[in-house]
Amino acid sequence: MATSSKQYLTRGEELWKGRSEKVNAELFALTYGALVVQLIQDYEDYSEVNKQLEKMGHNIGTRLIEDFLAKSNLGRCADFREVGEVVAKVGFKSFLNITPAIAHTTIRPGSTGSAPPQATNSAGSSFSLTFDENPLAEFVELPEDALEGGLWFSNVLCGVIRGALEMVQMQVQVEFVSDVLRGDETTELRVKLIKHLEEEVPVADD
Amino acid sequence: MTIYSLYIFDRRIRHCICVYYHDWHRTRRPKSAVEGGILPAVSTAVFAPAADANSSALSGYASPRNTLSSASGIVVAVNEMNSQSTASPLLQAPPSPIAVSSTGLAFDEEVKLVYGVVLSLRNMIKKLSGRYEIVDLSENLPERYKIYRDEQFVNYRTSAYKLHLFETLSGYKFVMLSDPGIESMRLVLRQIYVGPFLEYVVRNPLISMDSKEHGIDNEYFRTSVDRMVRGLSFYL
Amino acid sequence: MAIFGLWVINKAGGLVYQRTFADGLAQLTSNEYLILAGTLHGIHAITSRLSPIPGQCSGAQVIEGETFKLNVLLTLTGTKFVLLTSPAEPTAAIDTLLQKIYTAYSEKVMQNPFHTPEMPIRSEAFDMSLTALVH
Repeated sequence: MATSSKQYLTRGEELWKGRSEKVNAELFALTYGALVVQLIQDYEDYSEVNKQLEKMGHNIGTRLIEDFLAKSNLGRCADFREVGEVVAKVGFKSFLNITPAIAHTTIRPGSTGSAPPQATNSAGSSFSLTFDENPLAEFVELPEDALEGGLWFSNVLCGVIRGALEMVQMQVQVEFVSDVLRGDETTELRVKLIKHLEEEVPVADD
Repeated sequence: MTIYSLYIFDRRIRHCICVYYHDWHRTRRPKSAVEGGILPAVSTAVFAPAADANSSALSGYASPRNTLSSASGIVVAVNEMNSQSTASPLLQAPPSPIAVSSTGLAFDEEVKLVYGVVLSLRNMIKKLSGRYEIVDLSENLPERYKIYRDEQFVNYRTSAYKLHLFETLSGYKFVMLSDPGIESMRLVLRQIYVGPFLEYVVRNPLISMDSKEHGIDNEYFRTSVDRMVRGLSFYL
Repeated sequence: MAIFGLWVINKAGGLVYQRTFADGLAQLTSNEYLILAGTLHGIHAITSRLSPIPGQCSGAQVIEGETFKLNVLLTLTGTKFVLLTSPAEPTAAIDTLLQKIYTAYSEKVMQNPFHTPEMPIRSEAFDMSLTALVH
């Protein structure tokens, strides 16, 4: 376990260093900030803004996964725990140069969970990512009404993870549970596996 | 030793959605696809004489020169030798046609057959190999750390050609037909994925990757793939 | 280097013989083998139609995975012999072996008056010949 985890850290580091093109962090943060502010002006509704950010993220994720697979050359993960390790240590590292802390929760079948019983034993598993730095929110102070309105400033990340994992046949639910911008202790994002998308295979013979 | 054709299939596994087609030394061709049988922007109008007239069909989507399909839905209008003059200026003109014969199949039928064969063989190979590997041999790991390899179908060979497959984890399938003597094309197909595909499709926001209306063809991608294939040592 | 197994498929696509020589591949039920053989039969016919160049084209002769391959010999009478081997097994050696298996089949199976053509093969003599050829 320790070994493979370390392996992912190294892989993430290599990918980050090897990636040729980088963009100035301030410019990146400012661009994202301007985008969020514009959405708020356009929609005048924070939950709608959260939704739009998630949607944009999803679009990004469905593309980014190809970039990730092509560059990282990693194989398929054996289970959802490994998915979490790869997302945190290779994914976040190689694209944002951060490595969120990861905590796994596995719901054992038969335990008293509210989740409906699933065929796949790993369904209901989840992991949470805790960010001690967030390049998207570098200069952000949320105004009072954004706090009251329930804005998740970095909600684009939820969409990116959902879009990317969907393309490798996993349906997940991703949401922020806390954000230092809101005065919370930590910035934490939870990823929960809903189900593996089975590829139903038609015998396409004519 | 040469390369005949390249097909790229979309990430959806349940349906056969061909998003790109390109051919080189192919001397036996399919008939045109039936109307609606194949998506636009899958293959250049290199072979479709009516292309220029319909360039407005996809305005804003690609340069007019690169009219990917005519508005009539005919993508590969074959057996028209004179049509090759309409090739995009960035592309080298195909070699002067020798005798071109027909497979008797329409292009859309051919695509379905290729996809059907690839998918069936892929599933057969996965089914037959019942193997797994352990990720980390240094520790005594519990069951959940075993990696279940899904064994990939790599290629098949007939007396006249060889079909190679490279499939990404996300489900894109790159299929190439070559001379039967070529050992492996997987690296080349992977290079197409990591190079031109990433550069000109994934990172091109104007190309919708899971569109049900369009393929992924665009001039940069096509030119870049063309250059890569023509640069191969066994491309003659 | 290994020879994993042999299938004999009749001209209608039915699996008439299946034998495993070495471990390394999945152990499937006889029903699953029947289905795979039927699929292979169908695919084989399609592959000959997809030729990009004019002239005769055989169906798939070798189908490769990452850790094994299927080698197909199609006889003029339409019977298919499918040999499952490791990928490193040289083509020439496999072709020779397939030819020898075909010979054994014609001697031990087809010349047996109690064998009904196109029906499942139950022949100890054929089994023994194969054991001798493969090991």
